[in-house]
Amino acid sequence: MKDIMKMGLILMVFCLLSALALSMTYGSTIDVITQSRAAADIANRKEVMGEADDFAPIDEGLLEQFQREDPNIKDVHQALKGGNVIGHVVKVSSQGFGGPIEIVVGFDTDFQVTGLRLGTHTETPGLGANAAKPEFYEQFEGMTLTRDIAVDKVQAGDNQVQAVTAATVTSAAVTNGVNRIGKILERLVNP
Amino acid sequence: MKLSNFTKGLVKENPVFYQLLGLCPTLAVTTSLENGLGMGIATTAVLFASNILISLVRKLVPDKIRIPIFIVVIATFVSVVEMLLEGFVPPLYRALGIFIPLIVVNCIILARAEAFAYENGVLDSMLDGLGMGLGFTMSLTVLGFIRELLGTGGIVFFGNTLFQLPIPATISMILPPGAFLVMGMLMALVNYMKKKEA
Repeated sequence: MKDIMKMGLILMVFCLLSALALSMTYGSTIDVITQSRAAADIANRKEVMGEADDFAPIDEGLLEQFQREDPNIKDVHQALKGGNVIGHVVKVSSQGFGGPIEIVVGFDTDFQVTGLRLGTHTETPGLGANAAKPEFYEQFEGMTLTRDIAVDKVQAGDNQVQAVTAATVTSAAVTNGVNRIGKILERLVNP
Repeated sequence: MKLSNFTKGLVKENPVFYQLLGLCPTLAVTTSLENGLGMGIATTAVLFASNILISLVRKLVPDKIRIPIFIVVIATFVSVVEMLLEGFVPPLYRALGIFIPLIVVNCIILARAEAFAYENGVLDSMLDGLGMGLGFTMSLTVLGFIRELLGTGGIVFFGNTLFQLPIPATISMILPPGAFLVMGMLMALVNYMKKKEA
């Protein structure tokens, strides 16, 4: 009995120290990490919507409506050029193979995809992680949502993207994310 | 302090081909030279530091609960490193960050803590961690090289194509079957050479 108490206490001390180390590191890095993620977000928005010269977040009320449709939507920005709205950029997370994949996708006012980038993700290096390479994401550019974008393993046809080799789950996650967002966007900003 | 603690990990007790440790990430990430090397370097850094940590606290760790304590120490350490890297060295984080979650569950780290760092001093444990890490890196780099070469027909290193083979690519080599094939052949080769030596 005494032994069990002693072991328990020692284990507790180690866990306490570990919790302390973790919370201290978290506290001192969270600001920098948030900043660098925000900077990456801005860069991603510019890349998916090259024509825009400014981005403005949509009203909170509207964002709530978006999130009621799909709680995975992180944020929605209007893309502005000379003060006129030329499209929207949406950040959404989609369940991939190794966890959520952050997708940033831009749509112009005709709901044509202007670009797509992958944000934070934990897909397998060498397989799913290849979806973050231009060979995959550039395929989405110019696609319309008149019908769902589909994934093909061998050859991409009309309104289809070619899957990343050996990463069907990842490819489908990204594609489904785009289809889902496109529909919600079409319904909410263009009623 | 013995230098053999460093050199044994390179070939004689190579973690991948001799101890068969960390095979899951080994098979999964060695789809290219770049990935093998990245995973190897990240693991070496963690192994080096976790061996030091464990050998520092080993006198305070009772035998009966050493495994849970090792796991707490290692997981904490890896998480701290991940946060520090993302916060202060973003370029390095972008290159190695995706490997970090794989390292927490890499049994090499726990195995070296258990088999070596728990019973040896700080300096020897440091050498052991470094040697094992480099042995792991070498194995993964070789595996990645062979698989990328046969699977894609060339080697691409950080965006630069080093060379291209005039043969058609065998895509299955960068898929899971290729991992087992190359792994098995390399293991046979290493053991054959070892037997010849003895």
